[in-house]
Amino acid sequence: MLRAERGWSQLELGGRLGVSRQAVNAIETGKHDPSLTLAFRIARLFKLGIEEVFDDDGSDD
Amino acid sequence: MMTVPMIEDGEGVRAARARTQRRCRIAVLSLLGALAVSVVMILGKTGPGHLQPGYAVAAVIAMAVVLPLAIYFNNQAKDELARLNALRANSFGLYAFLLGGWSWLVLSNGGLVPQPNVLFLILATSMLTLGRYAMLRIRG
Repeated sequence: MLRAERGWSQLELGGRLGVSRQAVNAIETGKHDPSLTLAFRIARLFKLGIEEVFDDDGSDD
Repeated sequence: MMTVPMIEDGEGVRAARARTQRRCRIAVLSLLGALAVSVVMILGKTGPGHLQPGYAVAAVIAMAVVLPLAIYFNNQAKDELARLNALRANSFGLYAFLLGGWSWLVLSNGGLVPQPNVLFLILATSMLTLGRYAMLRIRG
């Protein structure tokens, strides 16, 4: 996991992204799909392309 | 596999703590405002003519300024998940208010229950909305 590779807790990542720890947890567990703005922010933070961070699981939800 | 020690107090954690403190301040101020209004409504007499006209106008203006500002700053301090959860909870509360109010009115027209009490409906649906928001937050 990208976050763990950097030794960041969910709180640390949330703080860097400007979202709560709950939001980070919901994104990681697939309970929440981030907005496009947040997805780009996450990709920029990890210095990766957006498609390298997120993949489509094929569901419409 | 190489393990990286977790950063306990990085810039992200400090930023998160600052955000939490900001949200707490807004929440406390909002709660104090709501408490003051509730106390006035519970202790004060209600009904036409029980309030000085000037005081009533001032109270409405204050409410019309304070409430949107509190909602605005609260929304600014929330992240997108919290905003989405608030939207879901508010929708739930609105449906509960419309359905509850309508059912109560129809039942009272049928002589089965007393006339609807708007204050009770507002308080009950507010509690339902808060409960729904708490449930969404706990579920993650």
